Amino acid sequence: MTHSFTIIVHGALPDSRASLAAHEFASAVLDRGNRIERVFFYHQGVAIAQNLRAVPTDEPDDSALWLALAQQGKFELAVCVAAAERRGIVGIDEQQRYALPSQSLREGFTLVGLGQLIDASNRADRTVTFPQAAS
Amino acid sequence: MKRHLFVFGARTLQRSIGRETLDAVLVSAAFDVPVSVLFLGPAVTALRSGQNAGPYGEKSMDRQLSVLTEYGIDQIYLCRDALKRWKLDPDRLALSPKALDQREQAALIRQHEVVIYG
Repeated sequence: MTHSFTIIVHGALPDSRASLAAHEFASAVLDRGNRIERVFFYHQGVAIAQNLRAVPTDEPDDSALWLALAQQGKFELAVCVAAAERRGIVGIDEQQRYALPSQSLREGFTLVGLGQLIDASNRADRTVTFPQAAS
Repeated sequence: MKRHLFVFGARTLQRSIGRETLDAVLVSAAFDVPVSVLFLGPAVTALRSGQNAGPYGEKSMDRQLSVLTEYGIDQIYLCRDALKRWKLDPDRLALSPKALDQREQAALIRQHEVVIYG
């Protein structure tokens, strides 16, 4: 029997390994034939969608890892738009709305409202949260 | 709609994290999701009544949380042990939360199909 999962991620590199722990979990979910409904980056986890991050070559690129996994598992990488805006991560719409000098959202991530989190948690069999302190 | 339990832990005392977790609770209620809220560890101090505003005029946490009532959210719980540890007066708490021991907290978690940590 397979299950569907919604995964909530509260932290990202370099301040937290929550994004890596969640990625490991999501890989195992897919390996066992289960489905991922949506991954929702919230709080400081939205940093994963920052297009202006420069990752040292000897450190993992959690953003690239998630993009590859989302392509494999065909699920959405959703980023809370309100949390992202507070942290300087904006798409073209937000750039225009707030007259900001540039956009900073990495391609492959989607800015969404909190309603998408509730929708995904209602539809999934399981919802799993990875807090910022996850190691 | 699945029953959602939002857990306010230590990190929700950071103003931005607490605010964002509260936003998720309110959006859930706006979508007619049955919502409960549980405060654990030092997060119980967010419920202390009569807190001062922040040094830059930010709303105090108890004032921010008062919006839960406006959204009809009255299933509010806190950890009984934390209440004692942080020496809070049960009669001086915002939102009239119900204190639960660990066994009751486990039962509360089991009653909800979705548990989201803040």
